[in-house]
Amino acid sequence: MDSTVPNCTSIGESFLFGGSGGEKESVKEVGKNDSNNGDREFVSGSGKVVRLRKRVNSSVENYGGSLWREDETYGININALLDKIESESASNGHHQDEKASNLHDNELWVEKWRPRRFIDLVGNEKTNRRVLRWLRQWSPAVFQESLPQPLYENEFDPLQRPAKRILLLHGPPGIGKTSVAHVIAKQAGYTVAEINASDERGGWQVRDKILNTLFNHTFNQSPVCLVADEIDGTLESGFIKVLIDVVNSDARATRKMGVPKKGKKNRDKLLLRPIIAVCNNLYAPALEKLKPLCEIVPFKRPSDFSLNERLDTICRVEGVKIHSKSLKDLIDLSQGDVRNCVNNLQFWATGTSSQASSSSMDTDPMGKDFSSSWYGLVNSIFQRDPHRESRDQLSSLSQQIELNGNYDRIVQGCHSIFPRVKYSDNGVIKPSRIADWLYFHDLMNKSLYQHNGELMRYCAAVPLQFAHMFGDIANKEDIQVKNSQYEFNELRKFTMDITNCIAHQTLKRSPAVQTFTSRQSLIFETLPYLDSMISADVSKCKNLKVKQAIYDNLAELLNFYQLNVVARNHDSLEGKKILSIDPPLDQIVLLDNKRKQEVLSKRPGSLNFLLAKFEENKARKRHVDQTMEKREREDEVRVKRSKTAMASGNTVDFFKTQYGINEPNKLDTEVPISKHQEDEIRTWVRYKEGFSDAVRKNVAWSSLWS
Amino acid sequence: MSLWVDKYRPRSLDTLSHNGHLTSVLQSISQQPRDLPHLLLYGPNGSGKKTRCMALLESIFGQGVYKMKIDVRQFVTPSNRKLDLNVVSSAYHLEITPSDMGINDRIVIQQLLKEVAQMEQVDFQESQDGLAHRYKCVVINEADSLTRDAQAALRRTMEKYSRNVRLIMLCDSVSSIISPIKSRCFMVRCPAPPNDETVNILNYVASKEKVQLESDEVLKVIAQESEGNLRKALLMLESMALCNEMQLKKSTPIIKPDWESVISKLATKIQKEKSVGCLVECRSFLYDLLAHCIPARTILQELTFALLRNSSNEKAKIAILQTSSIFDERLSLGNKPIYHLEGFVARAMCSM
Repeated sequence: MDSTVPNCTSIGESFLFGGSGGEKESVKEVGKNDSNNGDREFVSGSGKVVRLRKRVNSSVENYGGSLWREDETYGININALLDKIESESASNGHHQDEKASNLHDNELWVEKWRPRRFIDLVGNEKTNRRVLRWLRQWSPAVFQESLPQPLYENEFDPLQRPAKRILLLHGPPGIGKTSVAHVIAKQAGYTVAEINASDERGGWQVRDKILNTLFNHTFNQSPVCLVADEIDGTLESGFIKVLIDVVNSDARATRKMGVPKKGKKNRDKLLLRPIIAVCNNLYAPALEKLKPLCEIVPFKRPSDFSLNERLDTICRVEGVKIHSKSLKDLIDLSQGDVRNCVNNLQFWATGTSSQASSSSMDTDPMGKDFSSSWYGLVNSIFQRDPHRESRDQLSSLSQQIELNGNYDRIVQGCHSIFPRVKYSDNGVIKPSRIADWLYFHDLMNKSLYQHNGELMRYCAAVPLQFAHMFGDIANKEDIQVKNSQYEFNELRKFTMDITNCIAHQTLKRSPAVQTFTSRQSLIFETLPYLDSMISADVSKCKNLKVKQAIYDNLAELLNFYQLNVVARNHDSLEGKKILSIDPPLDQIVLLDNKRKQEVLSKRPGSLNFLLAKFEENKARKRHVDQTMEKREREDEVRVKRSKTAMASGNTVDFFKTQYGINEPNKLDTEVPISKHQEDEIRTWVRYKEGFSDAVRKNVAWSSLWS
Repeated sequence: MSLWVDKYRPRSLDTLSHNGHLTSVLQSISQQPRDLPHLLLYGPNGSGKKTRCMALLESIFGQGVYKMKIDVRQFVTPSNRKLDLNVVSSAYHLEITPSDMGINDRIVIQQLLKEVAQMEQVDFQESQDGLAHRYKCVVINEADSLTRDAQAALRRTMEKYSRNVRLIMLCDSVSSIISPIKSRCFMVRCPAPPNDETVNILNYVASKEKVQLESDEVLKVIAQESEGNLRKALLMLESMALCNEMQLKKSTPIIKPDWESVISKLATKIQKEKSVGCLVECRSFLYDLLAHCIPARTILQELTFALLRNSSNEKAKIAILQTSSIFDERLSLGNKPIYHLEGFVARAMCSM
């Protein structure tokens, strides 16, 4: 018996999964194996079949493994691993199949097919690995196990945790962010504690809950990983504040770790459990403060291919026959939303299981409230199909537009591409006529902010007008819709910021002057003229006196508006630095291309002179200040000395008069003495001399008012 | 000092330059500082509203009004958001600019005015009759951008606290000021200086700054081009002087802000060509202008004037004016300036 060990797993499996028929199967299998590997089967006392396998010599069995160990660069045989996984998943799928047939009616496929292991995840492989890697970095702190070196380490943390303590996953709904968080946490050996929007997340309740989960030990073996789902709601600020507090107190605790504790009780706790947060909208205002503390991982929609593969598997296992084309339609319809796909698939399968035939039109009504993307729609507005009746086409367009509902985007798209499509027109009559409709759209869309958007529904008419006027058979190819509105907004914000910055600085410097210039006249008049003054080219000037005057004037201006001449990289010149004004005045003032070119070609020269002048003035001013200060200091000391001299003289006089020794010409001789003293007394006050640490120093008037 | 505009700004009522009758009105107001009414100064950009306002304050309170400081005040909106606002103030007055605070101007005005109103001034030794300093002045810049709510909030405050607060409001046009406010204010119109007065002022500044003038012609051109905007005229003079070695001849080219030259270029383009391609070019120009914070209505106005200047046909002129007024309405009612500006361009192309 010592040469064989019972293979217990097969017993377990047969107990778990074998019904009455399962046992029979295992006997059959044993028979097969028997011939191949030389296993033996025994019948136990209770009539069960126990299979015993001959222990094989380990050196032979691990042949591949030993080879790998000899050569470090060889790595693990990926094919062998894949084979193993495949065989496992095949057997698993088999079991799932059986389970599925039992639970067919009462479980949503979305739940049933929710990925359970890392390899089940669809798409986003790189991102998934990144999440896993982050979670693995916690292992030294949580499980006290060491990691292989290549997983990059955070050298500042004694516990070797990742630098950012929270992982923030964001992306559109339905692509498996929550699933990934769960699966990967499980894979890495954690128990998942989820807090989602259905839980009360305000105030102290959530604080207690989080602190309990994070800092208390659990009874089950595996440690907890906190998954905070859907944190971008507007009411979550309390919850987010708790998260921020936890991370901050952890940062403090980490800093204190090296330092021996003082008598005071240390309230800051080390964070030893990973936190994964999930949200849809990364730019929600509630997340503003949390974001810098997080490792942010964006999730993208899975590719159609991988999604198709997944749906195919589901169909095969569930026994649904579906045409590959309708599958594709289903994917198009959901725009990569895996959850929506699987949902739709289930209802489609249950609804039409009797009739296996399917056309693309059949799947249409099942989409959630939405159809093709807005840019696709915009292009289809301009493409007239010669084979369909125009009335029919318009009505289907109107249906799609209303389903999409993103009227503003659609109209904007139409507006941005209509000059590029082909249509017949006499001059610009059609564009001038569409302007009325754009006004109509503007008014209707404005109701969004005023009357609860009651009038929004009429917006759908405007894209139809576009279709009516500009739709043509000749438009076949899709035109890329550029979002110029966004760029425009960004640029505008940039200009606004610079103007505000300049206005603020000058206001701070001399409110009495700046208050006369409003923000608007700054943009309209002052800054453009200021710019042209600064760019004045004086180098050719013959008259030195005039030149000097101009430079003085300019230097004063620069100083007043707090503008600096700096060397800066420009986009169009690779790596070469040119002189320009900072804050970039030219960028907000110049519109003309010719003048913009001048900034690059002509200006740096004149600015160079200006810079030199500026520096010279500064140096001179410093010098003047210094001499002024020196003189003032001397004056002050002299005054003080003479005073003390006077005082001392008086005391002497006082005593002398007391004793009748009156010397009337004492004061005259006092003056040279005091002058003599002055030099000595210069070194009289020293830093840290005597009882106090205070510094005694003469302060000149000029330093107070500079 | 800095720019010539600021350097040669009159600081007291006696030195105010143009429109003498207005100065005499202000002087008579300042004779009896106790009876200073709430003032509403209105007039075009660069006509010296603020200068007059400060000069008036100076004549009432003395030089101290020019000693200004900024402090950051914090206000709390009803939705518990905190607002930081820079308030420029001297010992005798304070200034607010509604556009700094966006839609929350009502709260700021209420809180600020109440705060000022409920504090009685006690330091009034220096005035002649001992009562002049009983009140503090609040200067509201750009009063036409006050929201309706803010204006409504103002009107009761103006009466109730008139013992301690006097308002001086400055705005370009009174059309967006509600009538209750207008009736509570003494309205003073500050007209733009006529061209010959502008020339005089320019002449004075030029002689002070030792700019060599060949003749007055160039100053006349500057006055013409600045369209009554004294600030613009002075800036123009300074930049022209600096760019031309302090010598101005009759032939010296006028320097215009880029945005104006771009708009006039746009106008010639519209008149030259009517096609979709041209429309696309115009669109990029318009986007550029808007992105440089030039308000849409200003663009429309300038464009209309440029078109009118260029066209000789009387009929076309009327058509342009008509379209322009239609689209002006649309701009003020709608939210999306680019649609309407482009619509105007297309319509103008058609009407040519």
